Amino acid sequence: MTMPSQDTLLHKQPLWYYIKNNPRAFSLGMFFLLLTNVLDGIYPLIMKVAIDQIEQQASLSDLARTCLLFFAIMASLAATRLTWRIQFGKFHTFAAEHIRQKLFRHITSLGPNYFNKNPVGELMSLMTNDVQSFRQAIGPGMLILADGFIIMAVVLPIMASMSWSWTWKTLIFLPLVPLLIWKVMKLIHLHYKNQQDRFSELTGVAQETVGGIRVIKSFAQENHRTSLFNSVSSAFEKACNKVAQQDAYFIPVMEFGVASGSVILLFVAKDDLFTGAVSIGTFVAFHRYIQKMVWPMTALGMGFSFFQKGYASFDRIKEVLKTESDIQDTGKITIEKFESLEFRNVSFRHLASPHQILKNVSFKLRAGESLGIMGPVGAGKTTLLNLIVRLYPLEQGQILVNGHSIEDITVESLRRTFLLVPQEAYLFSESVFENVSFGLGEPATTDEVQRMTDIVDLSHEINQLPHKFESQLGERGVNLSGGQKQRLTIARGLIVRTPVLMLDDSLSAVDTKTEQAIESELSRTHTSMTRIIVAHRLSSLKNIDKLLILKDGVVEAWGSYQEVLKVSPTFQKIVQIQGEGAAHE
Amino acid sequence: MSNFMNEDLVKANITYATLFKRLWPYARRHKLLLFSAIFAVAGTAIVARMIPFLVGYVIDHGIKGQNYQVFAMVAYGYLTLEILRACFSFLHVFLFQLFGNRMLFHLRDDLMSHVQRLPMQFFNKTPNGRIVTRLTNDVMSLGELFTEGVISVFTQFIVIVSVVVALSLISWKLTIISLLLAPVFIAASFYLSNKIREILREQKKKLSFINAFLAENLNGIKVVQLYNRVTRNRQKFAKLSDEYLETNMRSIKAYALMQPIMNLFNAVTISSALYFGGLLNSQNVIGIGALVAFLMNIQDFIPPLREILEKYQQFQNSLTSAERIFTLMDETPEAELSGVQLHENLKLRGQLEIKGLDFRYEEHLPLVLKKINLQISSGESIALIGRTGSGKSTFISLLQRFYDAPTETIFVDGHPLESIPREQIRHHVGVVQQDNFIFRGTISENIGLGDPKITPEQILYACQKTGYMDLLLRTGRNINSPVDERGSNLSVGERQLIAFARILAFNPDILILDEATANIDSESEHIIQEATREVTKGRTSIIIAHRLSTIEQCDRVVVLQQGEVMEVGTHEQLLAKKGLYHQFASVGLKTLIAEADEPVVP
Repeated sequence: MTMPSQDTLLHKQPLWYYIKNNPRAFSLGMFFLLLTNVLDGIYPLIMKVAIDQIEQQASLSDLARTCLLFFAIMASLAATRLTWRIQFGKFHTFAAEHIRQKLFRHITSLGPNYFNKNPVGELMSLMTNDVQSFRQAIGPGMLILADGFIIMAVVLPIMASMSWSWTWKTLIFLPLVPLLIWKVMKLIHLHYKNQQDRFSELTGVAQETVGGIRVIKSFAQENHRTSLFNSVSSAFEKACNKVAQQDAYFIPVMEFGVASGSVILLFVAKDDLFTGAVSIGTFVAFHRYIQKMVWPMTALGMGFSFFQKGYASFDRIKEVLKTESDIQDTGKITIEKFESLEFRNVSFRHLASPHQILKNVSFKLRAGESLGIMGPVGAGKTTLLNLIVRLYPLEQGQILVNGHSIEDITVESLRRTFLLVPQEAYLFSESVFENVSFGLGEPATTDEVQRMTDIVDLSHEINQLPHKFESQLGERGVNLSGGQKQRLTIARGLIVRTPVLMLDDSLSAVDTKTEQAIESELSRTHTSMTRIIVAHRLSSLKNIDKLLILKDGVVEAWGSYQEVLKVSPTFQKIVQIQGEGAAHE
Repeated sequence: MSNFMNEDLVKANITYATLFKRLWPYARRHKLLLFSAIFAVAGTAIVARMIPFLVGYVIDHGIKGQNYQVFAMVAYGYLTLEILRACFSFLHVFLFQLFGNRMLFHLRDDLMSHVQRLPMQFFNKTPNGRIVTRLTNDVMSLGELFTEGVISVFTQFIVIVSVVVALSLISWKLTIISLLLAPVFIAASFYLSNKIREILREQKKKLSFINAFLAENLNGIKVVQLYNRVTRNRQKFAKLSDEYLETNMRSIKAYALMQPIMNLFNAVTISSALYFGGLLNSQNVIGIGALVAFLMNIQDFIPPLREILEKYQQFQNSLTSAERIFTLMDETPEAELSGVQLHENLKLRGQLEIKGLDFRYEEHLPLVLKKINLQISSGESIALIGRTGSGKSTFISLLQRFYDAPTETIFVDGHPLESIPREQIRHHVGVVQQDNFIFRGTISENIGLGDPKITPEQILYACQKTGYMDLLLRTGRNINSPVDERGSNLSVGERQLIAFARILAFNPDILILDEATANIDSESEHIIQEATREVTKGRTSIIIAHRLSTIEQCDRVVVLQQGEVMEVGTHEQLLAKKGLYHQFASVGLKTLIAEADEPVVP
């Protein structure tokens, strides 16, 4: 855990934070970068000496000595370059992974409210693209800036010492270069964003075409679909071309300053050269130094652009890191068994929704009783279950477990007592075995997993998979049917053996026979388990002690089957519709 | 199967020759663009070589030859060359990209048309995500392969050639001496470059692990939190992230090594050029200006070489994309028998005859349908009943020619089914699936599917007839209300109604309806029953029915078991028969009829 004060430093001065945390890599990198640039700045001077020696027909042994010196400098350059790259690499790679893990830790502590507001796609892009561009800023971005400045600091004095008037005359246009580069990169970035948007559009149409292929084929709409695809494809092409155009500006702009410098050099140096006041070696070396200024000028522009992008990314990262969870885990009480659950006047509305989803709900359930919840779509059934396990913060009223307000109970022990099997069957791309034992602290035994899949009548089907219980699920593995997935999630819930099991319409895709099998197994093997079941079918609610009928967020009826049937019009209607078929038998 | 799973690990078997052969048809469509781009590359290279020549010239003829005129001439020449260079370098980058993007557009166009004509088997065995990736990301990678790889390598190669030519023109002796060690360095860098490629591949894999883990955990965050898995999954993520860091460091080290190799190469070539240049100069073989030009040129030898080596890896990595695309292109599309032509003005009454139909998906697989004989007269409605795997879905797939039945087994109005092209028969046989795909857009677009032949009036009429209009108006919407991706803002019942409306708008002669088993709220349920009555009215209909109320509406019931027709008759007849149908009706049917007789325990 990092200290809070360190977090403040990270938020305010991320670069400084990482320098402090990894001073060795940073300073070594800096030192060798400096050394590299000094050597790099010197070598044209040696070249100048050699050329002058050649021109003056000096002895070959002198020339050989100069050439050896030249070789030695170039060879050391190789060594210092290697070192600074590795050291700086360490520095920014560590920083990127640090921030990535920090983000993951933080995001996983946030509740569904956060995820409802922030699509997973955006969070993914934060953790990959934004982390990457932050890394670009404090890694390559900072590097090339430092590199650019150091080269200038080395080369400019050398040039000035050779000829001050040449220097300022030839470099007069140079300051424009970073400005233009920065501008071009900004444009590239802007158009690139547009290109990305067009690309998502393209992917969207492709996805729908492939996903809806049966409908498309059924109605023979292939040609029409292709022309729709082509229209987004062509928009994407145009966006790509825009980026290409900006890309193409890059090199001419980069070389403009130097090219102008070289041309000017010819004009300003011609008299001195003609009279022999300046040696050819000096002229060649000077020309070389002008060429050397290409990079620092480009580096300034690029570096600033990296920084700008990186810091914009970091702002988004910071935003997420600063978001506090709306579910504060500050409770001290640990519960181990289930005694009672009580709703006291609970009302709830979702964030930014004017519509109350639960209105003044009160009821009390004791250990050993099982509860069935029914009601039309949108009655608040799922919300009610979600509130018990604190997926959303309570607003009005109180939920008491074993007499304690749920906010006073640790989230972990609350969720070890109540296990919610959500409506949508979400499985992970792991093996069947791992998926079933997902909620267990230590690995389950094969027998245990097998027993659970027996209960949900899935073992037979699993044994037909290519690798049985070790078969991988998901994109790269086998695809289960909706019903199989749902049964697997029930097995995953059962194996945890929490005191209370809550099934949120989890039996909807299971046929009646399997449902009965699950029911009877449950009442046989999980006798002490309290069940809370949301269902649409009456058959799912066998062996239920209490029924809660919700309509528009209001408790329409609460009690035993007979009690509820007497007072609840909603329930009467359900019984009537689902009982209708019986008349035909 | 295992082949599918390890797909990313398969190395590309495609050769450059095949790549060019397959891309050439796209390239040749834009020859002008291609040749202008190549011209611009050549221009850039030549101009760049003329600059050292000018500098050498001014030294030898201006300074050494003491000709003052030369200076001004050279200065203006230099200016012209730099302007030319800027133009050429802009053009070659821009034109090549334009050319590449055009090619990719055509490639996507072809791929999309091709994919949509692949048989259903293909879609059943290939995950959707993979096909989409072929159409989007892989084409993009191929584009990068093209612009970053092919173009770049080509351009830089031209530069290297031009440098070597310029060097040899100045002094071929000096060229040989200076570049004597070049092969050693080039070999070393190729070796390293291969290493880098492997590391990059590894890095990409690790990143994809991270992304997959992230996507799964964020999408399933609720499950992760509810099952108290947060801490453990954080540890898992930290491990993945650390592994990624480790490969990142390896790639940085490998890249860092590339640079010194080039520096050493530079050191060797320039020092030897200096020394031996001096030697040759003392023997008056080469002028000082020419030597300077030589030195300037030789410094341009390294950067393009480095560029080639760097791009070469990308090239290699993207080859996998190319291979995947071409593999997809080589899938065989749905074919027609030879001689089958569109029937002009084909009007069908919807009379169906099935004669001794046997069907199996592949030769070594068992029969899915056995000796089916069935006569369905025009306008009749048939309820098709059977357990999962009894062959119901196969049977209806055959009617839409998603699979081909043996010839002369299915007849529509007396025409053998295979004599009517797929595209045409699908206009006459309409289908409502259990889970109907809904497109992003508007409700009206979803009903008309954007087909220009379907008028707004037809769509409106379809909505009214199915009773969907009432539902829309009651909820304050109309047929132009937006529909989210996959119809996520519509209820299951509404999605069903849209499918019904589609049928009414397209008005096929034969209707196939796979009744939904999913939970539908009681309100939509009622509307759907009405809509079912409406769409089947006066139309030959085959309904895979799950609800008793639906079955009762049908003229006849056909019971399928293990690919065989077991019973045919009206609901009453079959009930009275006390056979398979009776058994189904009392226990086997999955939904309400079966559940109705179960007592709810108070």
